[in-house]
Amino acid sequence: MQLVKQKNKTVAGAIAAAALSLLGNSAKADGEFWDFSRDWKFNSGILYYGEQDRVSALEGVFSATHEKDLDDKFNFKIVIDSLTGASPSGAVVQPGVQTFTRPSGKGQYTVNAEEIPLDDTFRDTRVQVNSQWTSPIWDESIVSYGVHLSKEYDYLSTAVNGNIAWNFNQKNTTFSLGLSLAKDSFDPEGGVPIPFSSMVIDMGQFANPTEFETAFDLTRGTTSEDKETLDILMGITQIINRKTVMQFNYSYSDVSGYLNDPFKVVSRVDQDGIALEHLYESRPDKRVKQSFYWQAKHYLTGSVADISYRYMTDDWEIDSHTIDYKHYLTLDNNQYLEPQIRWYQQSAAEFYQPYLLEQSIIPENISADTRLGEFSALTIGLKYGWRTDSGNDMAIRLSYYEQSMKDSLSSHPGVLNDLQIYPDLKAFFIQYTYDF
Amino acid sequence: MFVKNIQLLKAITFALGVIMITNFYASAAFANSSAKQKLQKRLSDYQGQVIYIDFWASWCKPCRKSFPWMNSLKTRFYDQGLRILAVNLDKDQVLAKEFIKNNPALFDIIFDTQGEIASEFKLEGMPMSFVLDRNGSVVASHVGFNSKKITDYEAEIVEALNQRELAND
Amino acid sequence: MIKIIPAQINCSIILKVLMILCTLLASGCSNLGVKPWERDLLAKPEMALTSSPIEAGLDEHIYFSKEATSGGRSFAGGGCGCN
Repeated sequence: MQLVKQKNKTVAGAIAAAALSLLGNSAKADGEFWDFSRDWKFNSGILYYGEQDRVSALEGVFSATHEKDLDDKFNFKIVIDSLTGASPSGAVVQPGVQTFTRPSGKGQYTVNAEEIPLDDTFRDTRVQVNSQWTSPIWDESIVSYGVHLSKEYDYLSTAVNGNIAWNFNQKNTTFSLGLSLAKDSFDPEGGVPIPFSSMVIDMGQFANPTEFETAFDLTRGTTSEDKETLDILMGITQIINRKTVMQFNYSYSDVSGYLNDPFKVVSRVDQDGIALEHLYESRPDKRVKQSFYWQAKHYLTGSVADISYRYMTDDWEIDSHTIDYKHYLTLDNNQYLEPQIRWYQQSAAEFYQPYLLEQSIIPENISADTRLGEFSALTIGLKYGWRTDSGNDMAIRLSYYEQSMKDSLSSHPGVLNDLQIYPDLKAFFIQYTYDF
Repeated sequence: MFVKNIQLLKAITFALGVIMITNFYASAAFANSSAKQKLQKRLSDYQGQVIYIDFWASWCKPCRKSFPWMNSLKTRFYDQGLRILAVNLDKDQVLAKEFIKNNPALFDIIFDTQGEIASEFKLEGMPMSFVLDRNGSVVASHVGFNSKKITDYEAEIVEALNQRELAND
Repeated sequence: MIKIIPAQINCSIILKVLMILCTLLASGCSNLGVKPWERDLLAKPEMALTSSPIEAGLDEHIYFSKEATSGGRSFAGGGCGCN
């Protein structure tokens, strides 16, 4: 037992020594008593997400925390994720084969008859790094601030955050206030499409490739766009009794700039339901969201019940409810089991439409992105964890996620009545985490 | 049985008479607790010494750092008259013993599972320590254990060690 | 359902919520809680409000890319309450 522990310390110790030389060693005073490797904690995880016939993703996280003293810590995190597969482009299903132009303008793809069009333009790897510093301030408060950076080949996201937490009533009550500012910029291959412009599809009408390119470029506006986000978070955490803790948060978010998904279109259909053209979508250039979140954790003998509820409302007229329940069950030999269930429901954005009728006036904003539609979703999962002989924690989790779209329209024009307009979403994900 | 209790009470009162603890007031329940009795015994054993009382629990993260430091205190200051008493507040002694296995202690541990001593000392936070001078008065206390404040903590102890015990008349 | 008019939301709603939170803090909350040495159960890792930050981050990423809602959780409080 003792020998194994020593081994573990050496590995952690080597990492700690290297890191300390980077961060500067300011703890000479207690160098005689304390083994510095014990100040380091590492958390890692990997997740595989797979949708039936559509997108699959792989995401890996590695996080290192150095805690010099209580609430005096530095955290560094790196996330790498890779996405492949196809997702709905917003174009409507049709009785015949359809052809679409890729967002880059280079190449096309076809969709089978009676299938919901999926754009399989390859979306590649993303790398994200975060740093967060936390330290006590004044007598009963803790301040924390950090930076975030995320990069994909056509997308860059940068953010800073800061928050203060005040403790009251012998730390039974904590009030926290946080702020975050982000700037994202987007540089898609092929340029940013002009909203409402019609997708140019080469069905043989162009004499040469140059003619097609000219027509394509007419649908393109700027080469890059950006957006800015402000987030404010306020919360109270309250110990209720020896076995119960609760949290209540309010958050306010304001994002402005380019909010469209440049890869998504809306189909304009005639009274028979046949698509005449596909228009690039247009969303408002501002979105304000507010959410109210409540969570309670209660200790029962040998288990912990965790329930949370979140209500979100925004100025796009989307309202959502999220209920999440987890039950942590302690088993023998430092093992545990945690079943999880999550229920989610959202209403559609005011400008969401699965397609646009030919005779309708083109609205100010329109999107057929199902993420803005009306649907409910259910997640069920089971997590199993255990502590290894060397005192490290490992867990494996398997979950199933399903979305069911609600059809709020009483009928559809012509052929669309007999076709499946709304895509199903069925996915599973498997996660492995290791803390040491 | 009754006679025994009176004798025990006399012994405790004598110890109390010598020890003047500012935050410690006698209550009816006092005499019936074994944790408090154990504390009393130690306090009377260490009469005339400087006593460092530390309240800890296995679930208290900063306590993992305070233990090696308290071991070092014992090594360095025992001969000058420092005595360390660590009062454990775990509800389950098994957890406390597990902690001690991973964080060895060279000093005395008293188990106070009901938190009676903690209540008497009106603990404001975890961990919390008190320095009692040679006359038994609380001359310093601090909440929490911060490695940056180790020099301050030690200064308080050294100051108490340097003071001579007042003569009992 | 709360219908929000963009131009007017910013300061007034935030101030109102802050006032409510402060009132909650001042009144009801002072009676609730435990003594500092009674936080043994609350100190257990499984009693932390976010017991697995890695998992919470992975889930948040999935739901952010499939749904229209994101965020809401916070960071501070609970636990062992150590100093």
